[in-house]
Amino acid sequence: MSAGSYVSAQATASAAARCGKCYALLPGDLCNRDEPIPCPSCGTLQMAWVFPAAARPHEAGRSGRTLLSDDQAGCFYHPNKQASVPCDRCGRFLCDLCDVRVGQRHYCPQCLDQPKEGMVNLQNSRVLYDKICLSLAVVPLVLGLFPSLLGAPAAVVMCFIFWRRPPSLLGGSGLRRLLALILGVVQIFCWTWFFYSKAGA
Amino acid sequence: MDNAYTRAPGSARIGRSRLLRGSDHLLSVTCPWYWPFVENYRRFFFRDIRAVTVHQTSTGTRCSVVFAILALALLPWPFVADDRWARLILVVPPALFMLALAFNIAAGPTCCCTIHTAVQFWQVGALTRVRQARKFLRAMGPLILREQQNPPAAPGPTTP
Repeated sequence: MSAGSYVSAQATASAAARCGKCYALLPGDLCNRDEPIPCPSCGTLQMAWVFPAAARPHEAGRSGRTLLSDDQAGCFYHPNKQASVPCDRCGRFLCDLCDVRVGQRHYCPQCLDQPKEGMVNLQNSRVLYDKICLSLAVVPLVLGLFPSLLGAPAAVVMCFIFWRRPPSLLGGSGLRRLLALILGVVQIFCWTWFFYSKAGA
Repeated sequence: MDNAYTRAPGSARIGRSRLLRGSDHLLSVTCPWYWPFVENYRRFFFRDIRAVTVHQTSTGTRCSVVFAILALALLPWPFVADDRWARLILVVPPALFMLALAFNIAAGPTCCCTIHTAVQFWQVGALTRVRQARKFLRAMGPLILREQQNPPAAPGPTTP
C-alpha cells in the first residue's frame, strides 16, 4: 500500500493542506500523493497527506440552554443555564458553555486550568525529579570528588522530599530514585569515614 | 488506560523530542536543550489531525559535507606521525567522522514533518528523516482515517 493511498476520496480538493514551510495553501488535487509537490508560494518540494477532518467545518460554539423549570439541574458556574453533563473530575454540573471535552471526557474550566496528578491527559509538562536526584548523585563524582560533599546530601534530601512525585509520562520506575538514594548515602558514609579518620589521625 | 503509550512507528527512540502513540491521540514529548529535567507534552487527537506535511530539508546534506570535510582534513595526520601510538590515536577522529558520515548517508534525507490541526501547525522533532515520516504515515494514517470516519460514540449529555 502506498503512503498516500489510505487517504480516502473524502478528503476533497477543498480540504487542502498548507505548506509546512510558508503555510501557503497547497493545491488540493496535488495532495495525498507519494511524490513530492512544489509549494506554489515558496517552491519547496513536499508531500502532503490530507485527512477528512480538513473538510470538516468548524464546530459552532454552544451557549447553553436556559433553565426553564425548578426541577432541572442548573450549571454550577451559570445558575440560570441548564446542566447537561457533570465534570468527570469534580462532579460539578456543567452547562454546554462550561463543558470542555478532552478526548472522551468532560471537564469544567477550573479543573482544566489546574490539572491534578491523576488527570494524566491534561498535564502539559512534568519535572523529572528522579533524573535530578540521580544527576546530583552522579555528576559531582564525575566532576571531582569534592563537589559530592554538597551533591550527595542534596540528592538524598531531594529523594526524600520528592519520593512520591511521578516519573516521566513515558514510563519509568523508582529505580533512578533508589539508585540516587543509595549512591548519596554511600557517598555521605565515605565522607564521614574520611573526616573521622582524619580527625583521629 | 490513559497513560498506555507506545513509541509511534518511525519516530526516534532517543533524543530531546519523541513521539508516542496513545489510544486515541499522539503525544509529542520535548525537553528543552538547556534543562533536560523537564518534559513538555503536546497531544494531537486523531480526530483533530487535518493534514500531515513532510518537506525535505538540507540539514542532512550539510552535515554530510561537514563530516566529509572534517574526515578528509584529519585523514593525513596519522600518516605523518612517527610514533606508532600517535598514529593509533590520530586515526580515531577521522574514523569517527567517516562513521558519522556513513550513518548520515544510510539514514537518508532529512525532513521537517508538520502536523496540522484546526488551531496549530506543529513541527514534529521526532520525525527528522523522510523514511521515518513515511513509515509513520503508513502506520498512523489508517488509524487517523478510521478514527475520523468512525468516531467513537462520545458519552452523550446526561441529565444530572
